[in-house]
Amino acid sequence: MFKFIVKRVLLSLLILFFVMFIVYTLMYSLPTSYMEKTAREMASRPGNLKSYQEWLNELNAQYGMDKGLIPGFFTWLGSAVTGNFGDSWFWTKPVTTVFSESIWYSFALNVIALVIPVSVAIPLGVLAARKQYSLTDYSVTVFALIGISLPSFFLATILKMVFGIKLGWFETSGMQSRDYVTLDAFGKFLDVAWHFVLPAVNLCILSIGDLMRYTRTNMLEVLNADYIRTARAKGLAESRVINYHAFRNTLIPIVTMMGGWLAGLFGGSLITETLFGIRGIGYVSYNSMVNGDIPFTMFYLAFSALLTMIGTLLSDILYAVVDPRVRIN
Amino acid sequence: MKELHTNKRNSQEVVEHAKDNIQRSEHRAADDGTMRLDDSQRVKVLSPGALVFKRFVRNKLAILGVCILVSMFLFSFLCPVFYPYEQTRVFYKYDSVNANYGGVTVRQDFVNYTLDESVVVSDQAKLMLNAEIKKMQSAGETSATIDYDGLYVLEELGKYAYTLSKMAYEAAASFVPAGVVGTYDTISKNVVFNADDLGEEFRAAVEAAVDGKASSFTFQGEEYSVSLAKKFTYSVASTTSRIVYTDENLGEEFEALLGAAMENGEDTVIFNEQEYVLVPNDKGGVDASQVSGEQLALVSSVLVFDALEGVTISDAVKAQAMLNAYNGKAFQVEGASYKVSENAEGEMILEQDGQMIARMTNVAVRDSQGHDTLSLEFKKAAEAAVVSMNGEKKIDQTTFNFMMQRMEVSTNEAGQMVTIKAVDENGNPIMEDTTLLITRKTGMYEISCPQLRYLIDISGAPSKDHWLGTDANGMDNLSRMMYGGRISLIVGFIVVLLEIILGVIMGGIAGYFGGWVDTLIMRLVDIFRCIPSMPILIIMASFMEAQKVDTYVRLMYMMAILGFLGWAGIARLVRGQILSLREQEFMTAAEATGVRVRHRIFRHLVPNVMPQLIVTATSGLGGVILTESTLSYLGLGVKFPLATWGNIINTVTKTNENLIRYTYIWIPVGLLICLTVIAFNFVGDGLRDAFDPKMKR
Repeated sequence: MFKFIVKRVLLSLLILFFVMFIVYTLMYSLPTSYMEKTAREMASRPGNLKSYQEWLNELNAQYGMDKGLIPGFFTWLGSAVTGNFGDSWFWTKPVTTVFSESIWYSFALNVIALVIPVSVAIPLGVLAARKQYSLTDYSVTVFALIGISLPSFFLATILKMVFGIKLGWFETSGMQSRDYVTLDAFGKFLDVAWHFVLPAVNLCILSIGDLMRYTRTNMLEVLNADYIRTARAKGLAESRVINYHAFRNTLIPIVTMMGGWLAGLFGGSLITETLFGIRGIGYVSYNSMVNGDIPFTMFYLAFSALLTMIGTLLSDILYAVVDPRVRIN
Repeated sequence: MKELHTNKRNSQEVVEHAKDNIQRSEHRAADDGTMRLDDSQRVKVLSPGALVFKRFVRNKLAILGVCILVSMFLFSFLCPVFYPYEQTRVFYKYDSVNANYGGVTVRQDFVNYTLDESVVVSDQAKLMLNAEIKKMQSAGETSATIDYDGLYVLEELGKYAYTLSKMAYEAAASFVPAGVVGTYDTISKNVVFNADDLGEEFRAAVEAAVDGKASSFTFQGEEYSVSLAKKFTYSVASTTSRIVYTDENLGEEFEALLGAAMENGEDTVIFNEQEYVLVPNDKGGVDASQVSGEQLALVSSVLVFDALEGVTISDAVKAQAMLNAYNGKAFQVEGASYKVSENAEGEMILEQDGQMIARMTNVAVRDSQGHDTLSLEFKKAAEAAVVSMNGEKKIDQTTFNFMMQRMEVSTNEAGQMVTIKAVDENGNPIMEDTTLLITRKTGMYEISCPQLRYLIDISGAPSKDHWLGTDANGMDNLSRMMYGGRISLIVGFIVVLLEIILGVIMGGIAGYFGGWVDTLIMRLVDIFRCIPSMPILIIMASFMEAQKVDTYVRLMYMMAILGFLGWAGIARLVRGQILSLREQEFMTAAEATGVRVRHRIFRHLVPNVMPQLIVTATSGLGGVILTESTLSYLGLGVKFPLATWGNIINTVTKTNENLIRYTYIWIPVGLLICLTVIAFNFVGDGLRDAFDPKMKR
């Protein structure tokens, strides 16, 4: 097992290295004029303290854009490994500060958007599989498919219109009310939580469908297995067959998916956060990318790649834990 | 040869026999309507394809999906053919808008009308005329003598008209008051004069006085004082005023008259029945000039002529009218007799041969282009409104009513919409009482009223012509929805095709060859699965945005990037399938019979991968459409002028107000996206179940 994990980790590091290289190559191949233009715009922003040349020199020192592709890559990798990502152009703060300011909002949002779908989707998926071809099954399937097919921006717009404008229960954008500063600590917490409701609902609806479908498919597969037939044949109660024999086996593939979710908790949701004005990592990175903030964009790309990598790695390890056959290969 | 012949005969026999059998069996079946065990019709053998089809058709959701997709394709690809509007056609309409109709100016600047071309007035005098008149008005004077490159006399004719005459004169004397005349520098031993140079002798006198440490000296009968102003510099001042004569000395009496005139602020001095004009000079005193005559040069006025319709008034008449505006005298210009008189309403009227031809006023009413095209009645009404605005209480906005001819939209011979003035069946103009709004602006008053204008039909509500209204660019929404669907579907298909081509090639190679090739390709797949595709799409899009890449080129790039980033999943699937298929008996058989590698891959392996590939591709199409619409929604995908579902929603949901107002646009479009993606998923699920019935027990 230890050997398996070490092997997977090393492999992941190798893959991550190449992903970083591709990401760097992409940034490297942006025309110099674009970089210069962006640096010039940055230098002319109000409240900016650095000159155009300073911005550009800083970028070159950080990313080695003035060197060749390979030496440049190692320059960047060297500083990235030590946690030095430079100053964000758009936010005019160190990249790591911007990151640590925004990441916990995303984390909070994603925890809600993980717990609720899991607690709703798994029971519903099991139910649908148990009563295959029933009305329940069809409605669950159709609902799941609608959830998968809804564009996040469309759902967000509908939520904004219904709950934000027509009913007026929530604000359509932003994280704080006008009177935020006058509130006490608990009031502040409630205020922010209130603003998180709509984005959380948006994320939940979008992710419930997928999980429900996955649970249903796995449950169906398990229910068709021979050992379930055996369990039924020996006269076990149906509830015990479903809840004990079948459900636990259904969980195996779901548990392996958890690796991806754990990593995804930090991932942020680009569209939802942007549309609802939640200053999480998704919102911050979207604005950075659109505004040509190269330092933060590089960081975000590296961060996303790392998250995906960790997610895959966790999934692999969990799978190996659950299913010993995997370890041998 | 013989063998072949036998074979042929044999096959013929077989065929005939079979035919016979079928006929017999049909005959028997027809006999009693039942089937027997040896009935060839009894067992229907379906091809695998037909089996899949049958299973697929039985799935209600899949059929629903197919129906939705077919209607979506018809909507996007067929409907635009019959729909009358293009996606980028801009629609116009005539609509009543409150537009600028004209302006009223209360004239403040005096305009010059030349009376006598032969009298040359200096540019400086013309330039300063307005300022001088204002000065006179504020001082309450009726006449003034001004000196701008020559002497001129400005005289008031009435409130709104002044004349300028050029004086013929001869300088007689100049009064120089007491005061500093210059400074003396002890180093250069030179005198710097403030005004007139008094010459070398004066300099010598100053030098002598300074050298002799005297505080005063006398030069040409005048007494001057010398005092130390600063180091090495003395100021030299005359202690008495003096009069410098140009020609002859006019004597004590003249000087007394001059002093009295200056004290009283008078402009003229009469001495010896000669008139002398006093004009301030640059030495702080006055110059007295002997006037020999005056010539009338020009008349300057703020009055404008509101002529009756069809009457034009020449500049010469205008000038004469100004000149005689206040004296009531008749005048002749080019054989016609004119007269300015006052009517009952207290207005100044210009009459030609006893007939009124124009009204003279200081309030100019002009149309929105600044031309004098408005009727006299309208001008009067507007002037009355302006006067009422400047009553005891100043108001900034008021309205007045005026009967104006109605404007109508009509179609001309060329089939174009034009506005015409409305007339009734007898050809008489249809007048309607129009309320005009008059607003005070800087230096003028603006008149506005509802007018028919040719406008772009922006954000039009749903109507007979545009079932879903028009968008912010005046383009038909329904048409853009159709073309948007076209783009979305095309993007989906091309991207999925790209993914499949790349995925099948890479996965096929990896799966078939195995070994290090497999390892290499699978690591590449791992790498590609790790690349965050949405951020990269956004970065590339914002980069292309900054570089102002053409919309169509952007579309190509977007499809290429989407395809390039999405092949990894398909490669993995194909490779997995091929790995398991490779071990099966039919492949061993194929290898044993010496089938070529190419055939083995493309005739035996790939067709067996097809089911999974079709299922993945169908579900993937939905995903690509979602990605594309999200990008377009963010303004980073397909851009204007091309329409896509994403950017249609984006344009109408930017503000909360629009969000509510344009629900009839964005909800249908959003549902279209949703339906299309659901339909692809339904069909994908249906296909999967049909291909692999084991799952559907």
